[in-house]
Amino acid sequence: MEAPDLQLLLHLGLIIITAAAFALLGKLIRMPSIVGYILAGMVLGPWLNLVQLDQSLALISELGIALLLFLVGIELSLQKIKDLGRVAFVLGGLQVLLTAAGGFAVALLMDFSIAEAIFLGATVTFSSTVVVIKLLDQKGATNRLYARIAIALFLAQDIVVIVGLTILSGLGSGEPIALTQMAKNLSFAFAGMAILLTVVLAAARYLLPKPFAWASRSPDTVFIWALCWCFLIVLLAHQFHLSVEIGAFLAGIAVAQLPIHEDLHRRLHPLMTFFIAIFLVTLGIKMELSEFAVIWPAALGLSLFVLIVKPLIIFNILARMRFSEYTAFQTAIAGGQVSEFAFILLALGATTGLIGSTTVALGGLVGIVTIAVSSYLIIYSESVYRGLKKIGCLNLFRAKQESDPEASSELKDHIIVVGMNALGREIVQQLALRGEQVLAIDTDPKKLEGLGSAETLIGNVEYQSVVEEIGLRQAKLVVSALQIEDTNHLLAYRCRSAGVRCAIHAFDLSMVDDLLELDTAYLLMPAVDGVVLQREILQAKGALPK
Amino acid sequence: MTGFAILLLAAAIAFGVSKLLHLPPIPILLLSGVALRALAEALGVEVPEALVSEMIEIGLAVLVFTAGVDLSPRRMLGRTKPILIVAISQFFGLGIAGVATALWLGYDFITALYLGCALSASSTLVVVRHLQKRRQMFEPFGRLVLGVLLVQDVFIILLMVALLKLPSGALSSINGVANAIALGFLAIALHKWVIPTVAKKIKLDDEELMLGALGLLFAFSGMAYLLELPFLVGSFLAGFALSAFPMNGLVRGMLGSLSGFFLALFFISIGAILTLPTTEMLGHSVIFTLVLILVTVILVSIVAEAVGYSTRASVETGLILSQTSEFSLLLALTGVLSGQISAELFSMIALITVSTMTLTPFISREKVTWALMKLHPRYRRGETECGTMSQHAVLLGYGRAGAKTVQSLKEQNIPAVVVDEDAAVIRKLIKEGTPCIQADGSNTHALELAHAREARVVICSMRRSRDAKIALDSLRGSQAIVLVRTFEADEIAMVEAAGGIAIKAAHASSKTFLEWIDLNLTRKA
Repeated sequence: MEAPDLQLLLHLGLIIITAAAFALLGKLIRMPSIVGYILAGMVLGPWLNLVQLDQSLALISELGIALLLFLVGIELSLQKIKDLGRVAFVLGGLQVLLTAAGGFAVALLMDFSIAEAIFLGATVTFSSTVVVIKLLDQKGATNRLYARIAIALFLAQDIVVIVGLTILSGLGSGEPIALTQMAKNLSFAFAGMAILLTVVLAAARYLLPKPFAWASRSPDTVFIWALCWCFLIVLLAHQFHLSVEIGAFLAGIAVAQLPIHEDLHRRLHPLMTFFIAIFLVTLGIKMELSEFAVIWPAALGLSLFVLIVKPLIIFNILARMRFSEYTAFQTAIAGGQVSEFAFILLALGATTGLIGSTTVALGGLVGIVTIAVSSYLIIYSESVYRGLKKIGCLNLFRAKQESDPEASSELKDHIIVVGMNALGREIVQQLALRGEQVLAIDTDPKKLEGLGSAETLIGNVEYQSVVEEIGLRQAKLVVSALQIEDTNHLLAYRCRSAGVRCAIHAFDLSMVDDLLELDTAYLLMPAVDGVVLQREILQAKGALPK
Repeated sequence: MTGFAILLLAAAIAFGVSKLLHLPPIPILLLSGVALRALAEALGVEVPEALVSEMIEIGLAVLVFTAGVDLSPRRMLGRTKPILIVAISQFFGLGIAGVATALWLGYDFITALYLGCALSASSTLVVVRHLQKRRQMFEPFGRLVLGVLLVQDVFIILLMVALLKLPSGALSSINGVANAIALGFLAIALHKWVIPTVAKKIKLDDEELMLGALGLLFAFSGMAYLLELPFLVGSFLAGFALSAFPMNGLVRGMLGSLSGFFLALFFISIGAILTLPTTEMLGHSVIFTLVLILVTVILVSIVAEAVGYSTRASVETGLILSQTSEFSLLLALTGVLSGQISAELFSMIALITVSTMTLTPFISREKVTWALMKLHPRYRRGETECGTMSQHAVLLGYGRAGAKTVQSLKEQNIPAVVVDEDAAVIRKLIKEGTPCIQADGSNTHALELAHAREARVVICSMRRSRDAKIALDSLRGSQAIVLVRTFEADEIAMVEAAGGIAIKAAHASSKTFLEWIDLNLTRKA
């Protein structure tokens, strides 16, 4: 057995440490983390040449993309998808046509050849699913209407990209173009999509529910099964020449129909964050800066097109489709950057000899600039919207002013009870009888059954996302009936930080001091209460004098 | 991507089988990896060696890092001395037994050292999961077990360094250990001063926390590499630095996802690189397994009781620690990669690990504990006063509330006799002058000895509800009021159906709590 060369660990180490350093610096100057990651990549790659992209890093990046789209799919129910189908079709179709035409025209005006203009037009057309979803997730906005429309748009774009890649793959083989062969490949891709969708929907209904229900009390098993399902569907998609994104997204839709999908989403989220961070750093590593001096004017022009004209196109289409000004604006802002697919398209174009390295570098630079600027715009989109509204320039488009309906449920002044053992269940039932708004939480779905009017959530309160979802800051009381010391301590700590009162199960006397130090308002001690009750019963029965 | 998906599929199958058979997942993952290789060879398909190797690399780092994060010295507060005594006795006692057995079987000294060290470490992953499942994490024996595991982790890391450096001479070994300790001091400084301050003063979101934690992992691993130590030492110490509260809690959820993912692939990959041990080695595995179980159970039971734990807690601790560890695999892996031990020996250690981890749920059952407790010498001195008792109180099981109950009965001048199976508890009661009988509370002979039918009250705190039922059935029709401490709804139903009075602790606690809510929440609102 040979000693491992630790090359992957070294590269990962450099990537993570540099990304962490840039993320921390970025926090000081309010820079979105995505920009920090790309800058980190540029330092490690083009500047210091410390990390070269190899198969392992490429695989890790691909895993990140797959996980991201898998999580997007998990968040969508079939009803939500149906609602957005028409929007995706109309918006996607019109946006792609208009943006591609506009981009083509701008490139021609900049004296690029027709072939180069076609590629640059295609480059500026597509938006980055990965970057935008990451930013929306960071904002906590993935459930908003504009986020769902943006995701629908990007997935519709993905289908067009598949067509483009299929055509290019035919060109790139070096053999003469056979239209019939290309038509066959396209049909194969679309048939594959239909088959995949059928498989996924059938699995969601007939295959997945029982096994996942059986394994639901074993979070590790469910976690690995979900991942296995995702990557098997991705492999299947690959057989039909479909992208990783589409395969992972469809796999996620199947899982979205399971009761434990929310808990799965939370467990998978940190894993996705890790892989996506590496993906974004590798974007920076791939950058070619040698031709910067030559290409920067064209890069500036195209970047302005992507940052201003493209969102205007999206805004207009949505306004005409009778979405509110706010929804249209937020969706448009989300679309204002170049997709990572652009790099693949340009690389393929260079392989076929249709475009040169300068055009490839130009596309890369436009990509990085627009991703960086657009990250700021997305994160601070509320302020940008308010600013533009104040100036009055959005009125030109005469979009509907009334807000679009959004599903929202906000918990406030509720009581959260964690841990549905006998104590937890008793407390929940008694509180519910008193008319309190109660939210019961446990990792075991079976323990959340039969709790009457109390709302329930399958989740682990150790996750920050669960803490946010249960509205801990807005609760009037948090109760933990758990017999898990570490979780109880963390919960008490979080409650103290949020200024919310908490009652914690002190199942052992050794815990009392620590919990009191964490300002726990009440200690639940069934062992002690049991002794008191025992004495009362004995006195009542005459076994002990009163 | 295909190779990766295949590894995931193997992991998914392993988890399913583990859940079906109620076994720990790690041995099934290892076997799944072995099966994967066998299948690949049978089909003439190439195993993606590079991917397997990379999964092992990352998995190693994540595994020891996670172990370090869980290494919370706070858990040992108030129990440090007994934990250290038990841990040192167990680790070195078993290590010596392992080395001696290996030498007797004809292995050379270095190999014997590796075998001895591999046998000494128990599995944090298996044991913690087992304790969590049985909700015993924070019982006295659970805390003892966790403390022992933490101390073992430290020992095994230092020994790994010493063994790896041994071929270069004793000085090099000592130098390596000194470097590891120096890096350890840096980790301690971060643990004590820097990390708690960062957690409290700087508001970091999930992504920043995760990047920071992983950044620390790689920074320490890099430092270890520069100090010519195995990078694992750095990974472990990075985890330890983060084990300070509240940081360990803040990162646990995120790291749980990462570690769950990488560990599954790690064990599959380890399984995929194992070679089949020879028949002789299979026989040796059985011998080592027996030595491990016998020495651990006997040594830990005696030492833990000697430092003040109950007989039951001591026996349970010994039983639950009777397996080798993922650290044993790491130790063996570093040994084989450095050429100090053979690949076959690595496979043998893996086989011992699989066997002992698989056996853990079976040998740590209550039945086994009870059976071993019966081997303990019995103390009869406490029974002398029982013959003259009537209108007394009988406690079946001392438990946590026993002391308070006996005290309050004494205050009311009501004599009490305690029936408990635990020898250490009986010894303590004899010392205090409390009448007691060392026996199972559901044993009818014990109930007769205690004159339970003539008692005014019988208070049952036995752990198993079926024991309470047996006692209730034996006392049916007697004058004694029988109280049974209950927590779950099904226990309450059983007690009431059998004619007893359930002490509904959860209900009592809930009632008191709601009174507090009425006073403190409702009124203020």
